[in-house]
Amino acid sequence: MAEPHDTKRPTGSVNRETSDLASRIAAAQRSREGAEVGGAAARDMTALSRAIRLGSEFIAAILVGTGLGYLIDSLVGTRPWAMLVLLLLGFAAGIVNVTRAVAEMNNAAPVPARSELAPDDEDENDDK
Amino acid sequence: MADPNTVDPIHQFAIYDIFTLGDTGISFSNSSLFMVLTVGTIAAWLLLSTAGRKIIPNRAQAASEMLYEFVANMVRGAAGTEGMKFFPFVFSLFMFVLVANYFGMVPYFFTVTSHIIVTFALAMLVMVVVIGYGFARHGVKFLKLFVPAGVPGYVLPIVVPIEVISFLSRPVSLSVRLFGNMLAGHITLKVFAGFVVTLGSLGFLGVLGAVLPLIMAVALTALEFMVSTVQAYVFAVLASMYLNDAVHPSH
Amino acid sequence: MVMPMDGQLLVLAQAETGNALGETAPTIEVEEVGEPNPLTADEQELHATTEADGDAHHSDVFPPFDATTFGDQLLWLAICFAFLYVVMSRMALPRIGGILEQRKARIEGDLAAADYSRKKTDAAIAAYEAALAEARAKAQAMAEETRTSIKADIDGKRAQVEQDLARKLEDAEARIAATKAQALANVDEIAADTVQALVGQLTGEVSQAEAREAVSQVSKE
Repeated sequence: MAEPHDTKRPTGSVNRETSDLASRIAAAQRSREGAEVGGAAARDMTALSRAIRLGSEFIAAILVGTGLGYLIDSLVGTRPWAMLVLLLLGFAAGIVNVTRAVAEMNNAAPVPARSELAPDDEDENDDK
Repeated sequence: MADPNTVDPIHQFAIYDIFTLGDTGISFSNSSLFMVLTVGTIAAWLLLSTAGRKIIPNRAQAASEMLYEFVANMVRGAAGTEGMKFFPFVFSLFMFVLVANYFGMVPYFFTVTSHIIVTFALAMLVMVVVIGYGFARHGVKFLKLFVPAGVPGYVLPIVVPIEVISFLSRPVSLSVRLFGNMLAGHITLKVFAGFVVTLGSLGFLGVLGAVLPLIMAVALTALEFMVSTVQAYVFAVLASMYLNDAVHPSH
Repeated sequence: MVMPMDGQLLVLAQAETGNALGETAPTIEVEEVGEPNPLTADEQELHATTEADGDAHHSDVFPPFDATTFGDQLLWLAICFAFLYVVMSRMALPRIGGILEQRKARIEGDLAAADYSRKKTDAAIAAYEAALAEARAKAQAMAEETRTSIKADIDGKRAQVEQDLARKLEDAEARIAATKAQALANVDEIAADTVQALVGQLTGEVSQAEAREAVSQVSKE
């Protein structure tokens, strides 16, 4: 259905075969440029690995906070206080970590959406 | 190495010395052996498959090129064009973790990445590169990393420690995640494989009963392969994101 | 918290061996001989406990947290990873990058060449069609010219022929008229002769002049 439009005289090509060739060359060049630009390969992670990522980000921050507090306590001699304060800060840092990780995942999410659009384009090409 | 009759899910992680290098006290263990094997396999594969430098690649060369482009796109996407100077580093990390994880899937092979010290060392290496490059490139401005833009001055005493803890938690979460995934996956696999062996030795009914754990073990093996890949990917992606902080500290 | 301490001690011990090989070597060697033995003893014990009681060894030494192995693992990891990094950054990756670059250049060159050839083909086809149209127009003009010249020729000839014919027709008509007049004249004479002979038969002598007058009188009526 799109063929008559295309093959008649799309890009000033004189005859049918060369205009077909012209459109194919243009398509190849376009696809190469496209491949170069849209290369952000953020694979969709499985739900499990997502959960593990968020959990570990959260727990790691708490652990680091507590460990840092323990270290300060043993150096300065303020036994429970630095550890308690840093435990809270670690908790906050964990939340910050999780928020950032989620934001990253959300930023990565549009890429699969775009890659879902891409096969549609290919479908259209197939129709031709 | 493991006694097939004893089902010990922990034994597979044991390290034993293969030989000791003379008086130096440096011993070559099974862990060292598998590190050498991992590195040797990666180097041999990449060098041999691309030896032909074919314009039209064969299958092996296409696989190497795919890995290259995959990691290159990952680094470029996360850290930009300037971050591409870390591409060999991230590529080495990715390949090392990936191949070490895959090696761990072979029965009776040792899993290098199931030891916290290895994963932690790799994560710390990333952090050292981030901090070193960050200060070398941006000087004191690198510390802006810990001061989010647009935050009023009076909350800085709270926000900066949080940012510091968040930064310090990166190598911990990075290494613990990889280590935990490998460890847990292998223990689970071993436990189910152990069920199969134990039940299978109990006669006919036992063999019937062993079918279910066998199916589970097969499914878990498939899952473990996926986890191995995903964890190597996650490790490399996060490494390139952290390296992005070294390139562009104010985010 | 105790285990990392052990690891640090071990690293320190190795650093010492690296620094001074001469005097400290024997004492270190004693340590080294001493070190693997507890480990293997542990393992033997571990085996024994697994056979007796599966869960007992968990609290003992979990291999990934066994700090005595950290030093060696770190050392070999450093060696292996440094080697890997050097091989990747110096040999493998530049080579693959070169291959990809070369292929990209080749494909883009080929595409450009294909496009160039296509344009050339288009131009050739256009030139051909223009030449064809020109030739056709020329041929048409020539045919037209020929046709008009032939037509003029034919027209001229026809006019001449018609003129000729007309003249001949006139001649013929004149001749016919003359012949007719002569014939008519002859008719009168014949008739006079006939009349004279007839009347002479009937009546006798009639002069030729009287006969002729009578005939002309009759033919007038």
